[in-house]
Amino acid sequence: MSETGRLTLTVVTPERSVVDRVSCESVSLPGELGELGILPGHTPLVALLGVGRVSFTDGGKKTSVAVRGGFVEVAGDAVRVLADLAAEKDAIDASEARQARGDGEAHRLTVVGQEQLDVVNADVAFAEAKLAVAQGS
Amino acid sequence: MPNLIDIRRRIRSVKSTQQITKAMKMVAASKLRRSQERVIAARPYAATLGATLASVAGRLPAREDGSPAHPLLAQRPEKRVVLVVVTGDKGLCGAFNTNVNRAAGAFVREKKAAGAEVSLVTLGRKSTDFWKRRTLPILDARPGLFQRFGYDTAAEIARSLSARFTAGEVDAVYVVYNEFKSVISQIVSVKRLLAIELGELGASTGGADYIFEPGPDVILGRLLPRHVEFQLFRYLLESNAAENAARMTAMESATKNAGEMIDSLTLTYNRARQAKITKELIEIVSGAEALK
Repeated sequence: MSETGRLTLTVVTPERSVVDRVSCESVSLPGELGELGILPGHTPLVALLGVGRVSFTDGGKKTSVAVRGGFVEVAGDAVRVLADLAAEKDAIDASEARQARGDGEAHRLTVVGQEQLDVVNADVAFAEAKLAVAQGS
Repeated sequence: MPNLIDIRRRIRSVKSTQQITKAMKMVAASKLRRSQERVIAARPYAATLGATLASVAGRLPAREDGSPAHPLLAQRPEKRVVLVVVTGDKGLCGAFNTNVNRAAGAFVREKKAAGAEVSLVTLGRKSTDFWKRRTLPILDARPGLFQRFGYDTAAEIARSLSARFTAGEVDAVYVVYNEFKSVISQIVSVKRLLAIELGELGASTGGADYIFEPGPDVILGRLLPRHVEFQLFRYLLESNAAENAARMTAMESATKNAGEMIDSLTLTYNRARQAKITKELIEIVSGAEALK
């Protein structure tokens, strides 16, 4: 268990590792049922991940990565994020993300059925999360 | 006596073949590096997914009627079996594709002897071409898969297999592919994709109590399909790396063989040339003798 008062964050996707065992003080995640804040000493947890930003702070410095879907497991001081898709600041092309958001919003008006709408909404939310990460907010 | 011009022509043709095989070896080597990197990049996800799945599975409340906690865990007698045959798209890589197709054939015979119906999913052009000339039903064929494939491709195929399994159309899904052991060794292996055996995941029951958000069965319901998708993705990555390794080795030995052939042809050529000179000399000398 965590006696050090720090967390170790890992963010991986099937294709690559985005954040590799970075030490930090707190992590906030987009859970599917709502925002999750993780501090050292958190109870072991497995949750579904929604779409949004995984942010972690270290010494007052906040870093974010955009994620879309997947799982998060907290065990001891390890926070492991298994994302379906993830992008850190360097991997994001802002104009591409803006384009994706525009496409998604236009597409939203034409889709049929809840399932497709969910997909499009997730696309838009992921594009927005990417833009937010790219702008460093 | 062999014709000098013919030998020279053959040497030239072998030389150009050697240049081609050498170039193919270089290409395979650089592709191998890239595909190996992809295998390595997938490892952290594999480790984390396995650990999470084990901790969730170990904490599932036991069902009273003993039924499985999720449809993908249902162990049924294997009456209808699907075999996913993973080969490459191209040849010129030694026995790589043949080995898989042969192992698939053996598997089919074995299952048929046990009274099961077998149908196939062929991934890669070589297995598609091989099996479409035979009588087994093919559920899905993806020639050209390895031109460009990502997680999405594997996920889509895995989802359709899982759907068939859940619907009860098939009782088990196996995969036969080349496992990448090292650059010089690829091992054909047969793995079961469905039903998932939780025991194989090393489910741990001990440890702290977890919070599940939402409940453990919902999370398991999402984790298991992902596990199947990812497993298939890994097999594809492995096969791809193994294919490039096999091609590299095959092209290397082809280059070497061409070199040996050039040496022996050069020797024959020189011998023939020497013999011709000698013969001409003899003719001149004996001609001069006759004039005396």
